[in-house]
Amino acid sequence: MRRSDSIIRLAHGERHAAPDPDRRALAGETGPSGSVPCPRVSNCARSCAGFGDHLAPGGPAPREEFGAGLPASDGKRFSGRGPGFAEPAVDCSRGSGRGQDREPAHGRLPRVRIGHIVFQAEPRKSGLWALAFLRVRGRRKGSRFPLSMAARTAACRSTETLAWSPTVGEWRHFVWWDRSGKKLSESGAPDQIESVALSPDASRVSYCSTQGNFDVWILDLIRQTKSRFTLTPRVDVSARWSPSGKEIAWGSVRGPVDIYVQPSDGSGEPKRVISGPDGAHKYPSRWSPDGSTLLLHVFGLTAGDDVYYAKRRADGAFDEPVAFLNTAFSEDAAQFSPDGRFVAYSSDKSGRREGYVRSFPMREASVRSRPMAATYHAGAAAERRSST
Amino acid sequence: MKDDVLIAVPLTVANGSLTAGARAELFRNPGLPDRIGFGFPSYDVAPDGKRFPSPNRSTTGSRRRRRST
Repeated sequence: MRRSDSIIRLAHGERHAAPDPDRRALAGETGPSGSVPCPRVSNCARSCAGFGDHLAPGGPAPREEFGAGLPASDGKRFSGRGPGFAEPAVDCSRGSGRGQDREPAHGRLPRVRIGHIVFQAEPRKSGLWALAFLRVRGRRKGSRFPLSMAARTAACRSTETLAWSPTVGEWRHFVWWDRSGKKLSESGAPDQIESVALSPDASRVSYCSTQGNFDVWILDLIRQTKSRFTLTPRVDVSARWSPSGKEIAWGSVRGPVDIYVQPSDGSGEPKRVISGPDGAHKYPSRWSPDGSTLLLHVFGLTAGDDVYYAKRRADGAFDEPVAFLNTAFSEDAAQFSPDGRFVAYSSDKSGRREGYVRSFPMREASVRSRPMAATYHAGAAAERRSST
Repeated sequence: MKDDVLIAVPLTVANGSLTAGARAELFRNPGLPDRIGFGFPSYDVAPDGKRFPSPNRSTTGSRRRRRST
């Protein structure tokens, strides 16, 4: 986390020395739209991430909301419901985080009586907000109040602590690096770039632009031109190229985050190919080298993030996703080795983020690599090794 | 945690078992976006395994944004 990120402790009765309006609102003082005191924030689950709390009519109606921090306790996980949901209400998914106890339970009453949903309303415009709620589904306690109008993404990683990135998005441009850390070249005009994916032939790179409403863009690295790939008013993120480079899978927030596929040249219509498991948010993590399997980053079912996979049939449709890694911990960022026999992923089961490699389908015990950013590159290293 | 550092771990597959070697720092990009939110990757690897596209902070864009606000 960058030093400039904000970390704030949310606890019962705590007041924050808040020099700016956002912090005053957090402390329960007057804020926009009738801010309310922060009575208590439930313990945060170990991993909190989700989408879309939709607020009742009356305030400034967000066109799209992008939930982030999800207070929960006792392994409970809370997520909101966005405009695309049938029920615009607080939704509670129950589960201890263990696979056998996992139970998506929309509408069930959690044991937690009160908590806060933290969400981001319409990126770049409305900042990071919180909303108190009671255990009764759909009932809210007071109005939403802002945490930071400049916040971009929030994460709850420890009890009663909320961290967020203070900026809506930073202007970045692509830089090519070599293995020694030498900067080789620069590509493209500045944009607010997230979720980078290189096409198989390295001629194009897709990314999510956090300007506006989070769309997928493609930068042609040869012509130095960029084009918008997704044209919806929804949040579209996490684009992944198929091995042939002819298709792109991505996650789109149209209710829960489902996975869509469309030809990479923009022709045709996007097709929703994966919608289950019910109530879960899914992102494509990586295609298998032969294009027959798509690894998924799934959350919303347990306290942690999980890795699923979906097999693709000959007609292009996908089978229902199958759990590959759903433990009491958070696993994500999964990717195949080039031969498809291994999957590298990130897990926090040791208490910190580390890279792991496991055979696919699961047969052997995993090999833990080393902490931190090794996660992603562990996959790349495995790819190089197994390809030689 | 060094968020700005990309690290590689060599893996060897032999006789059905995996062995992880010593990790090595590849490059340090002060503009490497963090992973605070959803694990979105902030770089990728070229097919040759030797080049890495990664977005870096752009001062040009920052100036443009300040002007627009």
